[in-house]
Amino acid sequence: MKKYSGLIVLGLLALFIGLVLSIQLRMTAGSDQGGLVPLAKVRGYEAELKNVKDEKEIVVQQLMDLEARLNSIEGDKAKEDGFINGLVSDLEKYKMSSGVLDVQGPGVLVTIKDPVVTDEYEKDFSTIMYNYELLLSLVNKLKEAGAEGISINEQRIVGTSEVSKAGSNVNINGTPTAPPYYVKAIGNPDTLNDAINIRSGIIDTMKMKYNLIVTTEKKQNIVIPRYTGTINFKYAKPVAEEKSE
Amino acid sequence: MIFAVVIGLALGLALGFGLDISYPANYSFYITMGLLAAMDSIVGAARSMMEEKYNNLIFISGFVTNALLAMLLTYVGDKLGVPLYYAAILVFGGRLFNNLAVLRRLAIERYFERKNRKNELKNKQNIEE
Repeated sequence: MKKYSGLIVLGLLALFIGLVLSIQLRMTAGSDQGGLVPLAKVRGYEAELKNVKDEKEIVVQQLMDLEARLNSIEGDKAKEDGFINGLVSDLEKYKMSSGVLDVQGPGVLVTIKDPVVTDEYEKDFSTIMYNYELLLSLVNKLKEAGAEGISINEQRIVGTSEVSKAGSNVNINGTPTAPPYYVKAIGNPDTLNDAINIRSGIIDTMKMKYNLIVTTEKKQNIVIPRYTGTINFKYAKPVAEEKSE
Repeated sequence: MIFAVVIGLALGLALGFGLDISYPANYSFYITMGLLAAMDSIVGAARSMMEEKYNNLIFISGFVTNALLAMLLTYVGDKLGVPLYYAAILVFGGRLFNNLAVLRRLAIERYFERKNRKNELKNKQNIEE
């Protein structure tokens, strides 16, 4: 028996090893495990992210270059022909209205910060991200007051822009954003400022109800970046005009 | 000995994959440290069995204290933000290789001993004939 007791213990330990191995394999097979993520993995992901970001930078730069070329060609052609000149100025106008041009002018800058928390459990919680509809409301009010261009954290708000919570971030134009939020709007500074600062208006609500730290400043010149995404119409088509008989 | 280990491993794997056992994900690193200690203990036990110095109490107590220390190091390191568990990994890993080397040498020695014995027997038979 004494000889076998060692073997039994050995077998039990081997059983433990097998058990842990198989459970680990099963657990790590699915998603990324929580707890301590191996540093090497993190490094790998970081490197990957950096590469992808660099790639994106390069591609955006290329887009800018190509657009500059297109503009110069358009300009040259417009000088030659009055009709094309009209077309080009029309195109410019439509580009402005669809938000694919950087625009600048007088306006307001609204800064929204989360309330200062002392409770350590609430450190990860962001009031403004959880109540992202406040941002939507603010954008809505600004539009109502005649804003000609709006951006949140350098994301231009265009016709297809969404503000929605995705996981632990608020996505705008499909890009994750985080507080503090800087909302820029171009328009009549006084009108915009008064429209959002009206008593029990949107900014009052943010301050009183949600304890957010909100400041608005009127600016003489504010630059709002262009929309850098692409808009493809898969379903929408222009309505063909009916022939008048 | 090898038989016992293989059977244990097979049973463990079967249990792990077959039954739906799981522990919280944030303990997984500690459990893995325990796993490393267990591997080290098993190879150590195999070596002592080969050398015929095996003692159950030493084996069990060694495994338990090693596993506990490894987990403690991991925990403290996690709290301090210093990867202290490297110490456990290095020691256990190093010992694994060392013990495996000793095991290999012992096995090879035994093999040669047997061969020599056989040859001696043959020689004796030849002489007698």
